[in-house]
Amino acid sequence: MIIKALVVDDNKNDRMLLREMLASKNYEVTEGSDGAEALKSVKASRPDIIISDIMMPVMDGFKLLRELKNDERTKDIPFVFYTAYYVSEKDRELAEKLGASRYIIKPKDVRELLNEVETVLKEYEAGHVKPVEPIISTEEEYLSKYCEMVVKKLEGNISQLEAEITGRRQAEEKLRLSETKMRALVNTLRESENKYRRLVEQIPAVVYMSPPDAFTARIYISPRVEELSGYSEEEWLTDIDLWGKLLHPDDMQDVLLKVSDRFKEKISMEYRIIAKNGDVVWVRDEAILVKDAAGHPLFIQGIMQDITENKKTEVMQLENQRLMAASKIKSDFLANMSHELRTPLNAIIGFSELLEMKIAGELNEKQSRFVNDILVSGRHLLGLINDILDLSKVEAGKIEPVIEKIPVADAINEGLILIKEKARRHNIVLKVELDPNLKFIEADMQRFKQILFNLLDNAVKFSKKEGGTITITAKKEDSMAKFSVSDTGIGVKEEDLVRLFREFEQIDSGISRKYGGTGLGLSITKKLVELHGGNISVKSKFGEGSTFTFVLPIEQKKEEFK
Amino acid sequence: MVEDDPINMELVIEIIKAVGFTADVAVTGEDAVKKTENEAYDLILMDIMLPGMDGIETTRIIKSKPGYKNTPVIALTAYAMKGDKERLLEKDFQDYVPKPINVPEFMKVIEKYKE
Repeated sequence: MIIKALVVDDNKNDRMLLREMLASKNYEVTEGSDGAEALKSVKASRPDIIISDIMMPVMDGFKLLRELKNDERTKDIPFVFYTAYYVSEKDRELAEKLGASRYIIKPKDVRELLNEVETVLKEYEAGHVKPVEPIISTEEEYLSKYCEMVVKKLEGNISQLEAEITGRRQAEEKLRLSETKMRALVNTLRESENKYRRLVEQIPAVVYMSPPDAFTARIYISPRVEELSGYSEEEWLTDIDLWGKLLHPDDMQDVLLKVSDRFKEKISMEYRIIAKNGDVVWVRDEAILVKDAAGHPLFIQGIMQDITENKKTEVMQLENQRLMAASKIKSDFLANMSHELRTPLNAIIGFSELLEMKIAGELNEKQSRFVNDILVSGRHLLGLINDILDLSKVEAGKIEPVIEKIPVADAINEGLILIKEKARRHNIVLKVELDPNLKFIEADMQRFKQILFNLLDNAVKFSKKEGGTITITAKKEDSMAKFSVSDTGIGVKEEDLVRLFREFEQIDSGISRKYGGTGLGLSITKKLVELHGGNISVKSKFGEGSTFTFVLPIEQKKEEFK
Repeated sequence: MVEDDPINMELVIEIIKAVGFTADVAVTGEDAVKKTENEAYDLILMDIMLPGMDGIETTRIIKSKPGYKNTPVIALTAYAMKGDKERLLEKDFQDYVPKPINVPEFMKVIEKYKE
């Protein structure tokens, strides 16, 4: 026999569960989602048993039961409450008073519910258990009971709501607290980050981070990189090979070789980069590989410093050392040479003097003149040697010229006397062109004569075999006196002109053999001119002759010689 | 007369003779020390730059010998730089003559030691 069951529940899932269970026991199941629907269904087709929830919209379970009990045709249908709510004794009481067969509380095992249902049906069939007569008969009594029940429920609901509200409030409070905490934490982190960022950005160097396997790419680079390279932070971060592109071509190979090797613990290198504006910037780059606790590489962290100034100083220091060493070698050379020159000169001058003193006997007039020539030349040579020594002192800043007001014409003539004889032997005509406006000049007489003599001596020395002309001019130009010595000699090739005033640099060693001289003449002359605050220059045409011009201030500034 | 350069030695000898001294010569410091052991000299002319032992050391040794404590020694040198004269006179030298020798002046110096 198929038993027809009506399941009333507003919860679709609960209904479905019950339906499936009942259907498996061969019940024919009808469903209703509330009391009103159930009532309609009962009227259409009487079920053998009703299983109903209590709390439902439109018409609740109690109302449904009351309606059924009030109808003669339906009042004996067994009625089972199956409910999760209204668990108080009052509910059960009301249910029983209304005539419910059972009052079962969810969540009860559905199989137990089925057992109960079967028991109810058996009781009913056996007939011993009469359907419970409704005890509540009057409308008023029902209403009062119902109200009592509803109030109770509401009270329960309210307290439950209150509890819920309190709970929610506490949860919200907790949430708020944790949010505040979180915010504080975030702030602390942000402050800490800012603090370190400021620290990093303050460092007068560029700090960067790179992936452990890609040194050239930058994950982070401090903004100062723009000062260093001219390229902004963004440009560095976007172009992953910018670093490689900026490397100076001369350093590129070495540097790339260093970093292409798998990055070891640390790296330290100095190299040049080409900044955006084309400047060459020296960089000291020191990087280390940062690892986690397990030793796995995390990232590369490095510092790039602009050491261009250091490098410049370094280069200058090296250059200074080199110059000082060279200067010392030269000074030593000059001192030695001076000693070596004095020794034979001692004999030349000494014996000449002995002859002149007639200690070796009387001399005829010619012999007397020759001895005198030897003596004069020897003494001049001695003077020159002394001057060379002086020159090394000029260079060391140890010499001060003796400045006096000297008559230009006399000074030039005295210079000419020294060279006259030699010029005559070379078939050279000496010409002098003086400026009547240039009468005096403030200079060191001895040095001035030496300058002039050196230039004249060179002019004679480098004259052509057939002879020629040497012209000396003196001219006033504003506050300066311009002197020049022009010859018609062999001249100097243009490419050799720059080397003329350098020490020990005769144009080729053959010259020294052919013409004699130390190679010091012009550099001494230049130094002596400069000692007076002047300058010297040369113009020459190879094969036609040269003109040396030196310009001296007419008046010397007194303080320069203090 | 201690001098390693033969030409300069000849020059000095000529000057000394002209003044009226007779001269004996040594070409090294060691030679000079030996000579002073065998002979007594009234005046010593000492070149400073000599092969081996220099004139300063030679003079120190000679001066330490009995009988030479008061013998005048004149330094003769081409080290004619400033300060050389003072430096040498501080040592055992009584006089200093720079090279190249100015003959008349050198004669005057020697005259002083002619008794």
